[in-house]
This record gives sequence, structure tokens and C-alpha cells, in this order.
Amino acid sequence: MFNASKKCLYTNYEYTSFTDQFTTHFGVNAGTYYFAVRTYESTYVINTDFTATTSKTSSKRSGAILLKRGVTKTGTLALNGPSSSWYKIRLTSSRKVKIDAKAMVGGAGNYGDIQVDIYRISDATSSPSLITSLSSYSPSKTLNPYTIGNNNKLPAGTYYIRVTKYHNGNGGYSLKWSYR
Amino acid sequence: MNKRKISVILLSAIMAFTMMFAGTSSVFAADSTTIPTLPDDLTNAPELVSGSGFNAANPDTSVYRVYKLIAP
Repeated sequence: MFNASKKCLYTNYEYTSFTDQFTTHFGVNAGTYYFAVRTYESTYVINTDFTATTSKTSSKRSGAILLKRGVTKTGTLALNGPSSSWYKIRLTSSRKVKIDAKAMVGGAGNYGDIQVDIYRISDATSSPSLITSLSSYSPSKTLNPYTIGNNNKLPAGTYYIRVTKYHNGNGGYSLKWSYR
Repeated sequence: MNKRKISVILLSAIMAFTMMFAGTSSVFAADSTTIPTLPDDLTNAPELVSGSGFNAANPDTSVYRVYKLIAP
């Protein structure tokens, strides 16, 4: 896969047999790209589908996008884009929280995943501390972050969610949080 | 920033082909498994459009066929 300047963004291959089919996902920004395809079969079919992701994203924690409870946000970690996107949630009281994370990444020959990390800042002068980390090895997972000694609840405050490339994973994702 | 995610489906060697792609797409020789260098002229590269695709005849497995894709 190449960008408009013919710079290679990605290359790999996949073993297939006579009637195999596979789907691989790429995250890209808007623009023109080229696919160079070579197969050892005498015929093949190549199809594409575009899926738009609508969320505004921020590659810096200082610009983290607020996630409202129960509202799904989608985003893209593009091959030719920043390595991370930052979001935040606010708890006005101590609550049990779950975060549903879905990923459309990888596929045949395109390895890597999307990792979801959750950070807490306990006070204005503290550095963010990691409380939960998830590598999205499957397309859909639910995170149940908690702080130790707090009955599985998160104290009131602001929590930051970093969605980042894991082993150069790229593609799309969605996030939604709610009480549990 | 307007971003798009793309799924690419590559399906090999289906017997029920009713049409083989035989356009004037750009092809070029591959000398190894290293990263290919695209040819200068890609004006004839067929465009992959969302929701559609190509059935491609591939008589020479030593060449790459190049497709253009415009992410909106």
C-alpha cells in the first residue's frame, strides 16, 4: 500500500489456497493511495469497502475528547497518522464503570492491534497513573477498570483513555462507557 | 480531520468467474519479495471504489497489478 507520493506505507503477504478469502483492515486519512497486488493464483477478486469514522480525535492528552456516558465514539488510527488518540471521561461520584472497546484492525497479513489504556490523575499536580491496559486481541472487549481497595469503584474525577497502535496496528475502533 | 477506514477483501481463484478484468491497468515486474517500486505512469490504474471490486486475470504471477484508491 502506497500513498499518493508512491511511498510504501505497508507491505506483507498472506498464504491462501484455492478458495480462501480474507479481509484486512487499514486505517487511512483521506487521500489517494495505490495498492500493488501480486498473487500466485491465476485469477483473483479484490474488493474494497470504506467505513467512515466520525469522531474528532486528539493525539495529545491535553486535547482529550470528552466521552459522554452511553454515547459511542468512533475513530481511526491511520497508517499515516498519529500513533495515539486521547479521550477522557468524568465521574462526579465514585462509581463502577465499564468501557466497551471494539476494534476493526489487522487481518490477513496485517498484524498488530489497538491498545486501550486508562489513566487516572489523582490531583492537579500528579502525573497520570495507569490503572487498566488492554491489548485488543479480539474485535470486542469490555474493560472494567477499578482502583484497589475501593470496592471495584473508581473515585470521582477525570480519567483519560489512550487508544494507541500496538505493534503498528491500525484501523478503526469505537468506545462507549457506562455504569455497571 | 476527516478519516476513513478501509477494508480490503482479496479472494483468490473462484471458479464461478463470469468476467475477468482485462483493462489497461498498470503492471510491472516483481524481482523479489522486497518492496516494489511503483511505475512512473499510473494514469491507467483502475480505481477501487467502495462496495465494488475487480475480477482480475493474472496470467503472469511475477508482476504486480496496481490499483488506485481514493479515500473520501
